Amino acid sequence: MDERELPTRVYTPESPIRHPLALAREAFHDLKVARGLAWRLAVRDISAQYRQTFLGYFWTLLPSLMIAFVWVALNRSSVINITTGAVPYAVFALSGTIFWSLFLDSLNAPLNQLSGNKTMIVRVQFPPEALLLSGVIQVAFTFAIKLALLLVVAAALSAPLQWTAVLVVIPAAVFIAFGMVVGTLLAPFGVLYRDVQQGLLAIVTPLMFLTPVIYPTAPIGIAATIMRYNPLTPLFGLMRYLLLGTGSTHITGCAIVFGSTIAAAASGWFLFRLVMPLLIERMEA
Amino acid sequence: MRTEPAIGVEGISKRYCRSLKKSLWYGIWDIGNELSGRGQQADRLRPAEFWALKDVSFDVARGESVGLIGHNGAGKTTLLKLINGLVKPSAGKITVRGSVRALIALGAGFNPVLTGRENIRVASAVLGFSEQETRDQFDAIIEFSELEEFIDAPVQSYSSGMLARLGFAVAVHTRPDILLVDEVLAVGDLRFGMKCFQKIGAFRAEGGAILLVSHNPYTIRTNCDRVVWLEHGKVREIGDVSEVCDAYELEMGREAGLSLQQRHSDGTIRVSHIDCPNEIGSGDGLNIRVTLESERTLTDPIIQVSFTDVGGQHVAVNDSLTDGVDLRILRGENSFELSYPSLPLRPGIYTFNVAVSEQFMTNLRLMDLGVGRIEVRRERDDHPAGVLALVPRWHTEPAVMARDEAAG
Repeated sequence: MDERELPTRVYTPESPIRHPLALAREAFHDLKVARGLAWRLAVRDISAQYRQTFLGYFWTLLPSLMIAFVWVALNRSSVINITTGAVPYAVFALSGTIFWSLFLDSLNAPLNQLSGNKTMIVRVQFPPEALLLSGVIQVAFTFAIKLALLLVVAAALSAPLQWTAVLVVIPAAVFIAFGMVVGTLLAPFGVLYRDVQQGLLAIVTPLMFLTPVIYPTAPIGIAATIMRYNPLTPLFGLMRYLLLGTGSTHITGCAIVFGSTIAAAASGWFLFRLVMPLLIERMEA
Repeated sequence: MRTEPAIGVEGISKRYCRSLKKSLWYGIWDIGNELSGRGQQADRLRPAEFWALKDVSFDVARGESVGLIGHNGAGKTTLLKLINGLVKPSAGKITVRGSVRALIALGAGFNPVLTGRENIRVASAVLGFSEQETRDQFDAIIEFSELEEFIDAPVQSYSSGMLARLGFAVAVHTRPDILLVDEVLAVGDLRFGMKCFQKIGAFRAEGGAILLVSHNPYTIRTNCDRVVWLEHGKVREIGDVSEVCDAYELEMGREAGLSLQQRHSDGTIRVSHIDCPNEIGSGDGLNIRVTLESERTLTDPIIQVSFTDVGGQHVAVNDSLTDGVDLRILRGENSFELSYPSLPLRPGIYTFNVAVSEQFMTNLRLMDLGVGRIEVRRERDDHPAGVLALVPRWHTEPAVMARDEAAG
């Protein structure tokens, strides 16, 4: 055997939180190692997902298209009456549903990654960051396809596409970060109790109607109040402003959401690391 | 520095919960303890918990191969998981010096619809290979797996043996300092199993440390220097391979016999004594003398004698009906003798059951069962595998050999 210094690991019942510096150092080291693995896992999941389908990427687009279509139909037949100015309603609704699904995908990604890789997690030691990063890559990939569709539809319906549309990746990144952080903070509890997933579903579905997804912000009433404090509202505003030059942007609101997401991201990440061994011993059926 | 062990296990305990509901609830508590900095230190059990491991200590030196033996549920797998850092101990300390590779989950990360080639990339990334290392080893991995023809087919079309081969091929091509092996090598055919053990042997020769988990003493005997025998989460015995394995095999045989006897005895006929030598050489003859005590006369009894190895496999079964023996058991003491002219068994410990049954309607009814034990001595170089220790006569014809050479 060569004379190189052997990496030494010590396992005790002690919580690593008592040595925050060492914890952070290890976390950043693992993050570096995790990138290659995250990429491999993402490539694996994406190729596997489309290999067994005939229509492939079409299935990625269909749900957002369907929801947008239903709302356009409702608006056309005057069941509802939504006016979006110079922007064709179809483009307005499609942009909303696509970004909404970006948020949902990000929210569900951490728990999906944990349950989808269960057999691997309980048997092999690898940096857990890889799961989160792989989730980010997959969500971003799906989003890129949808964004391309949105741009095509917008151009076809001669919507007032802005040059600032290239900057839409900024709110998209915040959508992903925000969803992932909330999802990561909930994931450990979701692994233990199914209630988390059920509860999330029950809350998130109606939440869509209190977010400017398929219609602009409500002007008055309780819906207006909820929408004002909904952290997703400023993100939708910024997204549409950059994309279509429509509506108002709350830069302060965006900054608050962005700032708190970054702050929460670190705690979500460390929580994920700390609880992983505790989850593993309860994951095996 | 040199003398520090590769794996140091000091007073390790681990508690687990039997009830799912409680386990999840404790999970929330454990998360709370971890986040508040209290950690998982515990010296008491909560309701419905048990000690999966209690006060386990041992070392594995560099270049040493240590076997971990014990019943199902003795804590072997839990111990491997702790050493691998997958779960946290409830007490004690584990120090691991060097990189660890666990041959526990062969094919971790495999996706069934992807090809063997794609899955090699994933599995090596999971095991910590960089992209460059994977590329460098790719051909060696495929060659070792012997799956060249199937490598571009989706792995869902593979047999379980082929999957294990692919998984193992990836795992052994990583270069760890410490190898943790769980009984995965039982999968796949015998020849591949041998190849795996050769690879493990080479790893050991290069100075790597091995911890091998098995409940087959034969695997342990041929691959380990020392053995740790775990029983109900505690170290029952620790020491030299043959000593601990002998004790383990004896216990296994005794337990197997006891459980059968309790289940079947009906009381009217008793196998009161079995007389046989304690040990024989491989291929020697064997005489077994059995004494029965009966409270009634049986006109149509059937006596069955079956030999079982420590792995639980029947190696030879005979019965009086098939062998065309006319038997009659009278009231009082009866005895009979069985002579095997030659018993070519591999060295090891065997148990045999003597079962006395009678025809009851169209079924057989078991009246009593006696258990005996015999050790087949180790006399010359061990046979590498198999149930039988046959010594064939080899005929080599020069003409045939020459023809083969010319063709090949």
